[in-house]
Amino acid sequence: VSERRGLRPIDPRGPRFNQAVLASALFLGFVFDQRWVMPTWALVLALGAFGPRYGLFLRLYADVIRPRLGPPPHVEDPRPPRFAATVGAAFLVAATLALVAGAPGTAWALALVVAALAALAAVTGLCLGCEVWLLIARMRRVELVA
Amino acid sequence: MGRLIVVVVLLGFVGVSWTLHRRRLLAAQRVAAGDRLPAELREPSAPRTWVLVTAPMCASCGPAEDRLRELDPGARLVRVDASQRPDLARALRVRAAPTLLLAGPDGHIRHRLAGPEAVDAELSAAVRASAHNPR
Repeated sequence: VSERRGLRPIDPRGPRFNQAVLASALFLGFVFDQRWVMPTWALVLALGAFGPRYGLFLRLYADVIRPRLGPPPHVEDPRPPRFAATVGAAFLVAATLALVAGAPGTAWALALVVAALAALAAVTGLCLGCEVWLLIARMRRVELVA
Repeated sequence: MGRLIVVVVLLGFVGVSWTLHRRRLLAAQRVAAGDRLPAELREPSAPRTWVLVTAPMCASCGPAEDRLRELDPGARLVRVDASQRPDLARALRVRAAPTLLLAGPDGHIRHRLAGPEAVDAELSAAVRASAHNPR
């Protein structure tokens, strides 16, 4: 594992915890028609994409949960999950705009795409946003840090 | 009620995607009867040969090599960069990096660990099994 340009490899369980909370919040928000989850999670995801220390649940994982677990079996480059979070935040911003424009159906459709992909990533580790980042990185020959 | 059904359908989609993904992963782990290392990778005097197939963008290949050297320091280890030797990667049916193959002196492949998750989960067991059954 090497470090380049100040990027530090991360414990991949942090983003997975974040994805699990995100998927649960969006699904529950949809079932009980709590529309505020969309703008709230747009903000939470966007801040987390800016840096893990700004992400509420990434921070909760790092400060409270991680110390109670063993070390991760492997570490990962922080950029793929950050990219995935940015895409998720963009979808939720679009959902919020749809909500403001009076189209709650469109808003929930966009939010449920995010919820389903977050659930997939949380349960299985298969993060489609991360795969897109890796595909772009491979084409641009970006070096990974872990 | 309608909304709950939508959520259940979406979670079903997640489950199906995972099952398909897992089947692909398991197919990549399977050792086929008669799977052998190409002649240039064999070494009859080495009881165990590990072949580590890497790629330039592989994040977990370095750690996998470190872990293998720690768990099985006596074994012979050959590194193959799939981008430099696509012919070998094809012959070895490699679909993920890192892929670790364990072969005996005759070149017969006994274990195939494809991808970082498989290496994390199964490397110790594969090393233990090969130590108990060196041929």
